[in-house]
Amino acid sequence: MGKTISVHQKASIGDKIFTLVNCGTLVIIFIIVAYPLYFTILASLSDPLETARGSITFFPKGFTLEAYQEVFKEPKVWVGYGNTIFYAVAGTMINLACTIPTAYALSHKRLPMRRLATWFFMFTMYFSGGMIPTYLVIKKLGLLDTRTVLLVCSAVQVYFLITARNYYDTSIPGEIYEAAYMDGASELGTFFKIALPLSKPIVALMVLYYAVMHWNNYINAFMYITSADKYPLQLVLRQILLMSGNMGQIAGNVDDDMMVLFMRKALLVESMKYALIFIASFPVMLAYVFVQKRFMSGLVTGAVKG
Amino acid sequence: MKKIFSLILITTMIAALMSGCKASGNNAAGKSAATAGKTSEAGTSGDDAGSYINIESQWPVVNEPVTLKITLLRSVADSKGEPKDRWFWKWISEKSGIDFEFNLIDQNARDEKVNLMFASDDLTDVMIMLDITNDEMAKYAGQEQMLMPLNDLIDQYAPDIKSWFDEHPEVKAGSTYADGNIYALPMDSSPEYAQYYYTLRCWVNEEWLDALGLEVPQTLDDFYDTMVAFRDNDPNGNNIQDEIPISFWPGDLNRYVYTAMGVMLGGGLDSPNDQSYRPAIWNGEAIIPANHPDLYLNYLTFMNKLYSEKLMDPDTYTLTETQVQAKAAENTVGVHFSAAPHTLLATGYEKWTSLAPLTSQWNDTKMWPVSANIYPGNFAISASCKYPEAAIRLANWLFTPQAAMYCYYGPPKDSEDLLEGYEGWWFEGDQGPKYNLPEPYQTNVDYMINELALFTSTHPGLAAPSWGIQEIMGISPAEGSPGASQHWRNAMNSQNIKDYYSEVFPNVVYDIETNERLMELKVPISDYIKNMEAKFITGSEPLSNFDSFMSQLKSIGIDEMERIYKDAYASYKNAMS
Amino acid sequence: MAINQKIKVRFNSLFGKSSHRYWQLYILMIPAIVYMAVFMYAPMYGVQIAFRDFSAKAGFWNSTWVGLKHFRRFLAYPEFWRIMKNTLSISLLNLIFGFPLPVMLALMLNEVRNRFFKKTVQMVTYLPYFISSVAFAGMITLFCDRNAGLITNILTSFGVERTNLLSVPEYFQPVYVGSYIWQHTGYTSVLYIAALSGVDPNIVDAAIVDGANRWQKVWHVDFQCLKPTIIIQLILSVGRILTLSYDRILLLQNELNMETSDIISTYVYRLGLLGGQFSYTTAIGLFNNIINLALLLIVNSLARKYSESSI
Repeated sequence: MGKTISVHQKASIGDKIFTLVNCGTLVIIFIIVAYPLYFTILASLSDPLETARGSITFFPKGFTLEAYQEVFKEPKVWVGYGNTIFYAVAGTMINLACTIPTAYALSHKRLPMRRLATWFFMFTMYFSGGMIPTYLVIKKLGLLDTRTVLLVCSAVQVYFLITARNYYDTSIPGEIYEAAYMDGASELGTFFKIALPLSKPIVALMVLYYAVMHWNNYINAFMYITSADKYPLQLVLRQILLMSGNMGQIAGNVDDDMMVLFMRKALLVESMKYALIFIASFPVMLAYVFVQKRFMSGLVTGAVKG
Repeated sequence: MKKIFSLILITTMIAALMSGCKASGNNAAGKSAATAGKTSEAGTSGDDAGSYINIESQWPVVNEPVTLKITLLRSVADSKGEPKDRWFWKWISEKSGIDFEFNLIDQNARDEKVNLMFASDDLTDVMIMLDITNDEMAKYAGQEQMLMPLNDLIDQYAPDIKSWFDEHPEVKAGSTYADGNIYALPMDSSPEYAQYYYTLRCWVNEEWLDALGLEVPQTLDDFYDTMVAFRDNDPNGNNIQDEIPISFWPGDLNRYVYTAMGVMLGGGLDSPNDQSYRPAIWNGEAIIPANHPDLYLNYLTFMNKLYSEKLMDPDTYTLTETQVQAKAAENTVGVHFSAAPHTLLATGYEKWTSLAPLTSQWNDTKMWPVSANIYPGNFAISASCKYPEAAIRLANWLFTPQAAMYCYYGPPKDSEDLLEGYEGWWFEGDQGPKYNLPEPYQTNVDYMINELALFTSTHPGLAAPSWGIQEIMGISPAEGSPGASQHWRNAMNSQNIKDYYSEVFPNVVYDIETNERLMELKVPISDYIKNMEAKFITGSEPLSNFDSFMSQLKSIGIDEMERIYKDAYASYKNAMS
Repeated sequence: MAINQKIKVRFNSLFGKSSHRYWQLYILMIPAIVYMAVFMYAPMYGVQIAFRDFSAKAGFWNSTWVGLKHFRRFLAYPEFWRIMKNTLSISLLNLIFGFPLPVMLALMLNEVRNRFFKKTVQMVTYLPYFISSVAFAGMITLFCDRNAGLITNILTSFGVERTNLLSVPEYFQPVYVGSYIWQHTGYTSVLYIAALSGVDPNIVDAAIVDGANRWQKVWHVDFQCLKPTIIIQLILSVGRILTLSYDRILLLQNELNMETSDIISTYVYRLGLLGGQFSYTTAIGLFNNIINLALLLIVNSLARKYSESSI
């Protein structure tokens, strides 16, 4: 439902200026943001030497698709894609199951020991055991080199949790709960039947945050995964970048043609850096388009009127 | 209810903490039990070992089935994934009678994973190609005794290693820790590369020299004059003064300036090793160049002159490799630095000639550091390994010419070591080794790395493939390493560098306290010097402030750091004599 | 008697029937609590090595206790004040300039009627977040180039001396912060856009009926609606002020700009290259976190006092 203004009003001069200033500023922002993005497209399609020379402005120079080809040549990339999609989808579902109910619970003014519970979570943002103990715990649980570890090791991000709790704090008025109690609903019932349907914007936001987190993450895989077939996309891409860049050194005793090939590969790393941005983020962009719809529509409308 | 609940919460937390505690506690307890076991074993191993170990000949290594767990570094170039799928491990498993289990570490995760492995006391029997650094050696081997000392094992079971060490004492010295123990065997590529010198050199644009009728400069002043000529006389003939005489990081020029002044900078393993805060040899003494005002001020003045007179690229500190390549392609660069022109530039390799070491008003002997082709810390045995004799026998073979050849190229055609499904290589004219490349490989290197080699293109022991071929098949690398590109050969042979080899600061191993102190001093001192040197050279800090810079250096402990180097050098000389 | 009654009332309200229901809420939190216990609290024993000299053999519990030795070492580091200052400076600049922008962007986008324009701008501003640090640093380096750099060219047209921006210490922080804001504003604004979707249209209508113009509507309705979210985000941001990660900065750092680009985490990174400095780096991390926590508590109590939102 859109924000339709039910009362008609005459557009005053002040309002017209507002629109002008508003849209004008947004256009400027758009240009400032869009140009460097456009630049990365250009750089990924140009000869790396031209990019380095700084001669690219609005069109690619020395047009070449090599950077993309180099990356897609590797079958690892597709494995990486598949893995990351799995981690993002399954992982986000786990994240939601852990975060949303908890955020709801924490937002309840009447939650017993609310302060303690909140700090139980907040505390971990400031005190953590570090890489080795965490690694040992995961090892003990037998989760090393499994797909599961990537799904659960960041099941709750406290930062997101607090943001979600804040949503419940502000967007759902207490009266709704009172109304439910009057009707004899239990706490769990209230959550599932009343709060959850009203949670679409925050669920959408959490999906966005967590999915992006999974999508961009490579540190966890770096630490805990050794089988190449479980690697997420980001890790694969990093490896490809590193490998191409190092070809000249690995090459030792090779003949002339090979050397030229390797040097070309090493040079391509420059444009590959940019190509990777799109290869890596394209699916997320698509995902966002779908999620965007949820934000556009206002949702709490009408709920309070009961 | 509240009480019960908080009880539950607290119990959960405590239980969680305790389990974590137990985990590390168990590790510690388990470790000491294992070590206790090992020492008693070690006492008897000399007697029992005879039963399972074959000491009559290299193969097989063991008479009974033995399993060794090996940690290997996985190169980024490798796309196949499993060691047991390649010729080398299949072959060596058959020959030696040992079963291998692998723990792979990705090259780009090496630091974290290795530290984790040591810190959680989780070592495998053998560790290969991990490049265990001096710091790690000091802490985990020297102090914590997590690696097994190899001295006795080598004497008893590894005749090839023993003789190699005897013939090359510097290799032995570089692998020996301060307490006299050898904790890990090195990768030694010196047999091959002592003749082919793989190091950063200065390459001068020969076309420009010819255009201006100049010779390759031999002294520091000549160099300066040549650069001025490059800048002013339009050698690239386009009538624009767009020439940049010197391109790339000023650190690359250090070696030339310092050796011209008589200071032997460079060599050694820590990189970058051509910096003013690294140990160097001057008149037979170990020094830190930045700690000697007369020396350092001369250096800074010269470099500053180059920069302020626009003989050096103004963006020297922010240039990327690609930018240098772009400039070279446009023929606006007079001088660049690389191991060989073709390793940096994509085209136009032939027009560069290398610069020999320079002399100056302060020193008239040309000198050049010998590069360290020895990389220690690449074959280590865990202190709790149950079959150290088998491991060392394996390592023993790695120090033979055959290993040098096989580990990289695999066996030649018609060799009896070829296994089912593998074809060997052969020579064709002076091109080779050649392979029949199966799908999907398109280059020799891909094929070798993924199907044949030990795992990557490097390995512990003698990592000199062409030298190995020479020793076994009699083809001399002097005529050009079979397979090496013409470019490499040209580069290696260009200009007389080998004639000027001089002694460098050796790869010294420090004991734990000294090492810790050195680490504490190193970071602030090197940061400060890096920062100030850049500012002096670019002129954002006037040279008149040099004295206050020196006193600041003194106050953060540079004298102490220099003393550490001096002492280490003195002990090294003692041990060598 | 009165006291007894008071105690009874208290007792009832804690353990009386009506409070049973709220314990159900803990059931909702079970998955999160389990996760925290296993992955966060179980490994927490590791923090203690900030006070010990870590030895792999001895393990965490048996390493030698050295008290505050590592903290003292950190404070004695000659460049301690410099890296502290740089970290705070960059973070504060991020906060001052980077915090309001996403809010403004969200408010502005909210007022756009044309859905296509709105969606497009939103999409484009959100994309920079996905640029990896490597590509990002590469881009900034190119843009700061002496001759061909985009930013350099813009600045020289305003009369700034032409030079490579990354070689001047004074420019580093503004360039870095500017690029950071460029990258994060869009993504951060999504939160506020989501929050704005919860604005009750009735209130909006009421405001218009009361004669509010667009500016007033945005200020009195939209902004007020965002206030609780803004406050919480502000508290959380202050609580991370010393947490500035090294990867983007390291890629832009060089010998010339070190005095303004060296931060705590780049120092820790250099230490990491030396290997095995666990106790020391843990101590530094703990030190940072304690300061962060202190700041968080301060801002939080201010928020509790003067507003309705707090942690």
